[in-house]
Amino acid sequence: MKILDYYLMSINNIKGNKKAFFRNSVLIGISLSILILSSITTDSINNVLEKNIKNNLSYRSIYVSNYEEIDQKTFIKNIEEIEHVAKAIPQEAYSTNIDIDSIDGEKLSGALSLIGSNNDISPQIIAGRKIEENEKNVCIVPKKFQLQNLEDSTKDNEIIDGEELLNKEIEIVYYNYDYSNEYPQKINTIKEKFRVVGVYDQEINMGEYYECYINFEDILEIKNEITKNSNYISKFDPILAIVDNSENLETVMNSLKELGYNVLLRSIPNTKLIDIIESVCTVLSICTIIIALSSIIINVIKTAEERKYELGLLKAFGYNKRNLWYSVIMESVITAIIGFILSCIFVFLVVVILYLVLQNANSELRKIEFIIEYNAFLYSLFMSLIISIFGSVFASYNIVNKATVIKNIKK
Amino acid sequence: MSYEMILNKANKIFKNGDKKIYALNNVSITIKNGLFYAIMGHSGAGKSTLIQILGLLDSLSSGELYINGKNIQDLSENEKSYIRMEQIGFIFQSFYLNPKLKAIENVMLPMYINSKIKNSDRNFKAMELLKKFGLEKRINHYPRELSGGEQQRVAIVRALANDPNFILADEPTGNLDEENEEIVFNELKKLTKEGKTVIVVTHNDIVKKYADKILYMDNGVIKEEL
Ligand SMILES: Nc1ncnc2c1ncn2[C@@H]1O[C@H](COP(=O)(O)OP(=O)(O)OP(=O)(O)O)[C@@H](O)[C@H]1O
Ligand SMILES: [Mg+2]
Repeated sequence: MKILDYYLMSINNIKGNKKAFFRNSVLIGISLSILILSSITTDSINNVLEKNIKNNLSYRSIYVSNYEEIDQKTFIKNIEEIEHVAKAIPQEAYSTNIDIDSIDGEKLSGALSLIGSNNDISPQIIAGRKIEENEKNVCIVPKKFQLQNLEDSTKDNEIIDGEELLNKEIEIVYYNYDYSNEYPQKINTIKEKFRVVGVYDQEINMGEYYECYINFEDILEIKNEITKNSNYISKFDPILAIVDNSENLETVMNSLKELGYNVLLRSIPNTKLIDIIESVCTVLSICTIIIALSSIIINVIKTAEERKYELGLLKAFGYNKRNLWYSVIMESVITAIIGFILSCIFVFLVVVILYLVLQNANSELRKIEFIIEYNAFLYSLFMSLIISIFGSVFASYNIVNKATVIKNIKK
Repeated sequence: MSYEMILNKANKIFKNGDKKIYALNNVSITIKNGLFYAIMGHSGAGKSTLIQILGLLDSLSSGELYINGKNIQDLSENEKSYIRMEQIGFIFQSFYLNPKLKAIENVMLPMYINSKIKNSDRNFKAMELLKKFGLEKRINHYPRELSGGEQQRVAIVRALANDPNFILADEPTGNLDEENEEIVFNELKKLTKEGKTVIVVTHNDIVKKYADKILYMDNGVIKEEL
């Protein structure tokens, strides 16, 4: 008996058992859909976690100290030459506290923290855009923006919607001090305007409400202005090396150590949460695989129970075990493939609908990134095809072993 | 090669708790080519058991069975399956047509495992056989659309699908009216004219008109051969 014969016979049988065939395909389709969807969800969650936690700016920043007498510029250049280092920044230039004078002409008072940023080193933007190289006097503010009260640090200013600040201007104020006296004295008051070009989510980014990103050059300028008259030497201050990707953190740490520098991570992410979520997701996908597999097996066995006498009869006609097995397998594999195709269509529809819903939802929902990893998606498709075929073969084998002519015919 | 079945000192024992039931008790018989055999006897005599043994659906507890000179006891399950496909056609009391397949599809079912029938010939062969039994108008009907007599004729056609030498029937007229009983026995009789051997288990006395040999069974023993 050739494959084609089994195929023809199966098609014949399927035509005769349309109802059961349809029921089984749909059931397989549903369980495979759950499998594929859960795998997509797991990957999306992992992806979001990776991107938002592990790739957070502060988690890929390393303090590098050098006790040799080399000047800061050479030191920075040395660090920036290391592979995967996006930027090396004098630590004090990384952030500075500045008073604020007005937002879009409206008088306000408070303080905020300025942090260096550029295209490579930037919080994840949820509205607007990043700061371009050499672009001056622009800034990125948090989604929820709040100034630190200058008069009374226990009182908080009202929270401003960061997105409403887009394209508006923030006027900041800083002072030039004379350090030669016992108490430093203000010499100059400098005012500068910054246009808001982007908004980031301080919660995802683990920032504070009063942190504002501006160009590194701007920060350096302000810093120079502030310390112009002091004799403060920053030679032994650590430099902050920013790694391009959290995956390369380890490599860069090692390279720095090899060069004889002292290294210290700026902060260590609490990956416990990620690990817990990852293991929960893994357990869930194993569960869905087991559910999908057993539902397929139960289905095939159930169908065969219904058709016991049919199989017994075939045995009487001279079908041997292999003939029976192959014909049952052929049928259940055809069923599984149809179920598989159904599940693909179903998953596709779900994804499209989800996508449309998220597109048209309010801004809160839109931020849920629905990520379909191409590889993970292919993997789950492959897995579900394997599972359905393996399940069918296993179940078919069981059935055929049970089918005896006499018992089935004498009923 | 002579087409015949030989049963030699055959025993079939069923155990019912501690009790042993001799469904076949030291049965020796030769089934000769081209004859119509009727197996008669009252309920529980062992008629179905005998026909199942001859049809290789069950195996002997002891004794020997030869089909066309081959000792069945020496054969593997696969070889027995092959003999069933090539040599034996079954007809049952309740027809056992697949209710979800059309008449022609039912007839084609045994043909799939016969490598001597090409894919492209299956349909044609089944059609020809159905025509031969006056069922040309019933080819695409489902069993529920056929009368009892027609269903049993389809079942006879199905038994002939692979052109076997032996046709085994267990109460083929049990579910039929008198008119159809005659038709079925008549068709079976015609087969013996083509050189096939027909073995029918029946309670129906009409069979005596058609049978070449009648075997009366009682308590697992063939009491009389007429
Ligand atoms: N699978 C079995 N297990 C136990 N006993 C069995 C089995 N099959 C048949 N028997 C017994 O063997 C004896 C012969 O049974 P068989 O079915 O051959 O009788 P029969 O002549 O066909 O009867 P009927 O005319 O009622 O069909 C009976 O006593 C029956 O109970
Ligand atoms: Mg019987």
